[in-house]
Amino acid sequence: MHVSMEWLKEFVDIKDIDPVRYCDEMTMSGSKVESLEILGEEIENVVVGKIEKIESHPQADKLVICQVDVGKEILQIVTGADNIKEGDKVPVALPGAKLSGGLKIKKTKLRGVESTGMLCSAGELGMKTNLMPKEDTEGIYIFKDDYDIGADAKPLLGLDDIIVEYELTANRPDCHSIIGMARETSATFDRHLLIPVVEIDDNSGSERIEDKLSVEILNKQSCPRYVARMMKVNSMGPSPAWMAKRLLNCGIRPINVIVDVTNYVMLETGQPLHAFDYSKLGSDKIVVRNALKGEKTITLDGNERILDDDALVITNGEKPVAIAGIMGGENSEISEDTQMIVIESANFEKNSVRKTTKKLNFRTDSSTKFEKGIDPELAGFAADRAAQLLLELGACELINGKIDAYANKPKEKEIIIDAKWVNEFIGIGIEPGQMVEYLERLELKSDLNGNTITVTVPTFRQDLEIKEDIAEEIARLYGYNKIPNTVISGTATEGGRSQSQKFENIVKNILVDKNLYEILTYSFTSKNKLMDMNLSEDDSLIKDSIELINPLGEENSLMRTTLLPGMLQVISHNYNRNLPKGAFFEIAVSYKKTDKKNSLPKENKNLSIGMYGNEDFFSMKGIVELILNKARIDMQRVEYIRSSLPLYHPNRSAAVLVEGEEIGCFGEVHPKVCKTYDLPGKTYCGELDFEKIFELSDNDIKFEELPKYPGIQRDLAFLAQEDLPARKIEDAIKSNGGSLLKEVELFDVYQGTQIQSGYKSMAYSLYFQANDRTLTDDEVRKAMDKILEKCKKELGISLRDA
Amino acid sequence: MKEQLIKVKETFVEEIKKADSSDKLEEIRVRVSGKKGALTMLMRDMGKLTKEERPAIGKLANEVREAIEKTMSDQKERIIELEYEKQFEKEKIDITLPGKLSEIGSHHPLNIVIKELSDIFIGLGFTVEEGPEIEWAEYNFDHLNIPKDHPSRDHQDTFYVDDDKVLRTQTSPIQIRTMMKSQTPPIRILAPGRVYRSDEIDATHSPVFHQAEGLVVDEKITMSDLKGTLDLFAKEMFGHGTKTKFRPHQFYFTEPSAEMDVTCFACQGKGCRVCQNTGWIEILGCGMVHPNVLEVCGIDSSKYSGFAFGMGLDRIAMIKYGISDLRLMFENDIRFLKQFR
Repeated sequence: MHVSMEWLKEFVDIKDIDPVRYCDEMTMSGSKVESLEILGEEIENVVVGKIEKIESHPQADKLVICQVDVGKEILQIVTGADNIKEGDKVPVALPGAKLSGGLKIKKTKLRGVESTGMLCSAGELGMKTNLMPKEDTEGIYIFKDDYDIGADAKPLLGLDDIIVEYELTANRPDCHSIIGMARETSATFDRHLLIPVVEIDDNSGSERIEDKLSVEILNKQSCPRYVARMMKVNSMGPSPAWMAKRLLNCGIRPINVIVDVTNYVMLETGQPLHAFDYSKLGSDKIVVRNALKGEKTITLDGNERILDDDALVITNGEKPVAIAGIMGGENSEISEDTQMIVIESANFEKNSVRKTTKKLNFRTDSSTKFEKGIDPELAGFAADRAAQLLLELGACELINGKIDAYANKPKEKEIIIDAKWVNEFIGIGIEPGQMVEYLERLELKSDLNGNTITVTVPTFRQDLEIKEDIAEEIARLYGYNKIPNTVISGTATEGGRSQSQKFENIVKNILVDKNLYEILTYSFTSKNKLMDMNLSEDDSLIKDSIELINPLGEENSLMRTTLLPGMLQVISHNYNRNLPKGAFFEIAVSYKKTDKKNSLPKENKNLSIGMYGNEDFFSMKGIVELILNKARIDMQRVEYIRSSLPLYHPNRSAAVLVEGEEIGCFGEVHPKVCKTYDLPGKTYCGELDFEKIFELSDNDIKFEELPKYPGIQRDLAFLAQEDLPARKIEDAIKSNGGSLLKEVELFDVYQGTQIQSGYKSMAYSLYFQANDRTLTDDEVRKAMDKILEKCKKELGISLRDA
Repeated sequence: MKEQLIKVKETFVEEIKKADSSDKLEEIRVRVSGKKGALTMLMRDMGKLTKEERPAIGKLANEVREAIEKTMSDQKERIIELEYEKQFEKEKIDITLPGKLSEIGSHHPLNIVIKELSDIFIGLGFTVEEGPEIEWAEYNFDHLNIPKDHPSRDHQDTFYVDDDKVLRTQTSPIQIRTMMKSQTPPIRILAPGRVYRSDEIDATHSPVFHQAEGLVVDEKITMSDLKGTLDLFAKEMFGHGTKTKFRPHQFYFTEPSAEMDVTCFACQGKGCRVCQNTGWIEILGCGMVHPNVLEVCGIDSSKYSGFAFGMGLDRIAMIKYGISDLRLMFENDIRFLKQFR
């Protein structure tokens, strides 16, 4: 919402208030100022000059020499413009003048002829040329009015205004007008509001409207009120400079006096108006009805619009002459030879207008206002105001009377508040009388009785419904920043993170310590991205995915069932930027369908890990083990089996089982996937069910006494078939080692020339200890013998050097 | 005898002082006080002395022995020092070479902000809550008092899974869940999380972004409590000199509502590029919980009141660290992530 301060000052006297202070205080009382533009700020020393004489330049065909009367003197100015003639009044930049863009004007010589000053174009003066007619923007700007020679040109060009842009909230449609903002200004600065007095003498004209027009509303829900006035047109010329200037400064292109007045009243009051050519209506009635399905009409902009049956149209009883609240029809458009007009000042319900603008994908200044919601009380005032202006400007003559089809006049609401409650709720202590004063400033009539205030809410304040709304009105005029800052009183509460949130932080910290970077990826994926992970179409990761009704493109059409596509894209991004290595993790949610009726999809927190560059399967497994260790999940409960996920290299991937339950998979990415995702050859990734890990985790630490007796360490190396899993050997050692065997550690694996092919050497360090005595060599020897015997029997392996 | 003792002393003290290794010293020791050492031999000859000579010579002999031993032990220490020096010289290293500890990764800047924020509110007695990202439209809109016809519900603004389920457009439904679960205040929660809006990706927009929601409900909670709490938060989060400013605003689920600005932390309020020369940065929206919202959650609005606030975390992280483009936050380039170690 752009507001011309020059216009606003017509309704509230704030001449003494500096613009910056004005903007600050308006923002603090609830009308947020987005920007403040001082028009013509750069322009200095430009006056009205009259061209007395134009002569050709002796040295240049394209230049002319003008003698220009600027009041105090006659200046000789050379110009290249060809749109001027003797007698024209034009803006003249005197020597020393400043123009738009910081241009400074000096006395100079053009092709040997002295030139003292410059004749200016609209662009050079920083005017809004995009909204002006071509003849005003090409060449030198020529004044249409007979201004005094030598007068300061800035105010005459509308360059003495300040434009304030407000960011208004959705609940205040009443503020989308000059009068609306004048009302807020008046309340903020406690200055009297001067609303224009509009009185039309409906006996002063010639004929009566009732003899020429009737209005019927068939859908009173969508059109609560329809006011019509008619006028005879005297002249269809341009509107006066003061009006055109205000329109321009508010961003509206001046067209002709009738269109300009309708726009002017819309800006001033917030009520959009429309003018029909009466003779083109083709009937003597206006019927407001829903469009027929597929009904076509051509709007003023020359486009054909195909309507749905929920669109509201203004018709002449047969065919549409306007789409209600959006735009008039070409068939009833006013033109230079229009003799009589119908001014429509109607109220259309916001949702009806919004639906139609959305369906047509077509918005206008008018529809934007209706979509926000307009007070139906405004329609009558606006129709009269337009008539008043057209009469004052001599553009039209009155047809007596107005038609006002107004079915459900809204009632004024009453809200009762307790001043004591307001003070308690806001945390302030002001007198009830003071509250009443604030409310009255906002035109909220308030009666005080003891501590009780009865507030009568005018119809333009549709946003005020409950006592809290009134408390806000009081608080914002009192000043939010005058409300003291206090600490929360009442019952003490025990804050903090849940156990799982704490665990999450612990895991993130150790992963970061291990040189992994935490990443953040989008929650969307696509069927293609999942298929690119070498998954088949019936894989549960695809089948269980949730589709969005309105995604941002196919590539974002599914909610991810796995964090891995995001992870692989991050690896690809970094790899393709010549970053030689990287390791990443993300803890985030995956989404899956559930069979349960009336329930939300299953969201599960997962942990994804990915790495590339100088890594192998065991770097990845090390990270998995680290997390399980941190969760204090006993390694004896954990098993690694082959993973069936086709994303991975079949022999370099594993599913992690804790007591038989799978908690995730990891491994080397399948070469096919490396190709589709553009990944380096040895990329590793994995995904674990973070929630399950947390459930399995054990943070109950119990101290065990330190051993009092020394233990004994023995090393042994088995020669084993190369495909015998290490885990089997370890299990065999542990299960046969008896109670004295405390620790088993694999410290070397060797395959090579020293041993026969098809075999590997597995060297273990075993630690024996008893809690109640010092062990003897004999005891340990017995235990070792048993281990060797059983390993031979169960696994067929024996000592390497045996 | 006397002369001999003095000579032994002089010779050996001199010799010991010249010794430059423990081996040499040992060799000297053997020559002085070994079985056939010069001093041993002389001491052995003491018996041959007369009774009168014995005390004086004995005394002298002891002095000689002590002197030699003293010199010996002094020299021994000196030699140890010397040998260390030799060893150290050999073991010289370049101490400017990098250390052996492995590199460390980093937390994502957004999560750093979430953690800081959570820690501040935990200190004020808040718990950290989470909620589903695919949410009932009812919780995301209706229960928050958002009108049935509000444009934010349109398909062009909100992602829908079906007619009833949306990708939450705000963390505010966690308020609703918390109040419905615990209908007896006090409630103090902070709920950070992912939210979604149908925006094309550019330097300042993303369809996925992050918010944190706060809610306090109890008896006699006032707007001044809201101001006090958020002012404290701002000072903790952005520095103790930070000032706050509350501007009236409108939200459907709060009344009265406000937006809070803080003095720009890049220029301390003087005006700079970050704050577009205003000296202030808009940080959050807040207000007193609308009675309709309390009631729909089963909380008696005549007994209890509360305040709520919500803020965009991506924006806070971007302003805090001076990150120019939101896309960097989701691109996860190592050169970006590294900077938050």
